Amino acid sequence: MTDAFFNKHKDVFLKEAADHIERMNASLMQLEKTPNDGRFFQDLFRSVHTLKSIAAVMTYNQIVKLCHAIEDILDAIRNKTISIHHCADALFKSFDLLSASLKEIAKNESEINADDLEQELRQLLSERKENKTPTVSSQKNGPLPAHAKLESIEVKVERLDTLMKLSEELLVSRIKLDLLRETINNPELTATVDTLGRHITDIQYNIMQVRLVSIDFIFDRFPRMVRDLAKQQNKQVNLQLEGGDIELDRSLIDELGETLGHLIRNAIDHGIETTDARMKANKRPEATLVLKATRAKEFVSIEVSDDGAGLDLQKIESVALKQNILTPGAPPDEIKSSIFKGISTTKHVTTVSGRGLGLSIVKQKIESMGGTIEVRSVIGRGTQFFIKIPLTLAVIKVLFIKISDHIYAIPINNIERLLTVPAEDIQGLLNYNAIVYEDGEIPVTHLSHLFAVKSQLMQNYPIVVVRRGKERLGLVVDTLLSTQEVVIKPLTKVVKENKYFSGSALIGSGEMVLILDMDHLFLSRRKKNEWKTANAV
Amino acid sequence: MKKILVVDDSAFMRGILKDLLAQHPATPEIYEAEDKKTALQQAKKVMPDLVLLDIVMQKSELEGVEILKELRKAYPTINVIMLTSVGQTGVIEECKKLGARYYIEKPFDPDNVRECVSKYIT
Repeated sequence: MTDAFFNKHKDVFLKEAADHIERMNASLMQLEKTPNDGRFFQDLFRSVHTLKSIAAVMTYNQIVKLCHAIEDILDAIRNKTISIHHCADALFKSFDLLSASLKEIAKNESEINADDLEQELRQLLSERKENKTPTVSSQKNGPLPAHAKLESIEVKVERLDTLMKLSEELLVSRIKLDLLRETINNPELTATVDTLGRHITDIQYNIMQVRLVSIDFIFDRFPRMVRDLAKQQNKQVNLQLEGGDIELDRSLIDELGETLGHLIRNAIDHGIETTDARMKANKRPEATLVLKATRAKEFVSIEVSDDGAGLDLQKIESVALKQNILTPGAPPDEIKSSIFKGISTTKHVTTVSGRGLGLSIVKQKIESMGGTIEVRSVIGRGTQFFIKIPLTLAVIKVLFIKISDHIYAIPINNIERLLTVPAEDIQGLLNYNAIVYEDGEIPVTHLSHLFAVKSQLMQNYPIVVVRRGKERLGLVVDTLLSTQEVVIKPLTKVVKENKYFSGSALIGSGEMVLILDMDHLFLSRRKKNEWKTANAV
Repeated sequence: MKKILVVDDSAFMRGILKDLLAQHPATPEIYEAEDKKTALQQAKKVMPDLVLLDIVMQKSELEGVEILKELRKAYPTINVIMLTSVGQTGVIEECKKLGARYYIEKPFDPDNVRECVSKYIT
């Protein structure tokens, strides 16, 4: 094969080979659980075989050799001369070597020598040879599960990033054009800008779609990890994955993967008890570890829960007190949260986890993605972590409003209606102000008071009525401006501490505009005292 | 110009075969398909002179055989060469009965592929 030919096909080879190894891992893991399920066996066999033949075309002889030895082991398993449990570890090790070899090849290095491992596999076979001589039999063909095969081309992430940035710049130009259109007021220009605007939105939406990666991309690495960790520590863990088809922007995948990996390691190392301890506690010997992703409108939520020993609040409290992280008499929630502040209750550091910094890093990472993490735990019953990650880089439609010369944005999907209400119609009730509108009373607040800025006394007040579930709230503003589509950017840390804002957006003039966080506005409304002072006109 | 349809679920294999076939002196036009549905659609659309068809596909063990059956049913004179692996003797026999002309074992020798293809496209 010529060099040019070789290089041309290398990338495709690497991608397919990696897919096969992933499938081999998944099938073997299933086979360990249900050794008699022929479907997984055939999947495994086929992947190894295909990997062998494509590697042969590329003359990666070490890979071919190892695949061949793996096939021989699989033959022996099929002929029942060797049990799957007896050779699973060696097989997993072989898969790891294959993966490592691919990484080397990707770096233009030569593949890893597989002699030792091949020898190890052959050894397994010869140990069993006395029992029965393996015979080659043809495979029986049963119904097989359909693999969702993705036909796609590979695009470098950085190219997508460039496209994304360009599309954001397009959006900014479009907003500038929008302003021009208003000043020039030419029907032809208006129509053109409108069409252009629609196309730009479409482009941006589509680029964002392209950047989406399903969470399975992260989840797929965990079954193998859980298996290995559990085995190391003599624990039995059944990992359940849900919602892997939910999609996230590519930029979040790596960080989120690390974070979840950390939580899983923690759960197995500290949360889940050994099989013996579980039996003594009258629990099922096999622990359950659940990873579940769900998607809400603007968030992806991920839950990591185990049915292990739970957090020992007393122990955490005493350690946290010693390290001055807590003050005496702190409520249980605060004690629980101190696990995110870098304390560790384990006596020794294991290879898996236990340095205590883990959870504080997890929290930092999630917050850097604009997300939140919470923990719930019942001693003896288990621990649950709830992670919420905003879908970043989202385009949303907002209404711009003005309060004391500053422009803010309110997401359109929160807005129910816009009203102009005479000042005297805003009635002071017991501890809040309200207006009466058609179907009932709507509490109102002056945003200028909330933000502690100068407010104008007016005869008529523009009010934006926003809704969250069944609750409604009227926001009194100085001026209503236009609506526009904007790209939400996460907030910097300083601004984030001010909970009234969920993000920022760049507008045509190059100015940054803060987007109001409806969740928080409603939440603070419940804290009546704050509200009362805020509403004292 | 002669037309060849390559059916294999591995994009890598399709790429390799395409390159190999493109070097053939008859400079055939090459089309590809990754599954049964596309294979049948392509066959209908381009009416290939020759089909190179992989027996084993990840989706289902014998998808290749299924495709062969359908192709031969719809186009009784179509030339099909099966791409097989070592040891699939039983399946190869079945394919011959179903009208496959020839089979090439994977991993294949490029010369063997060219020679084999020459019988049907020159």
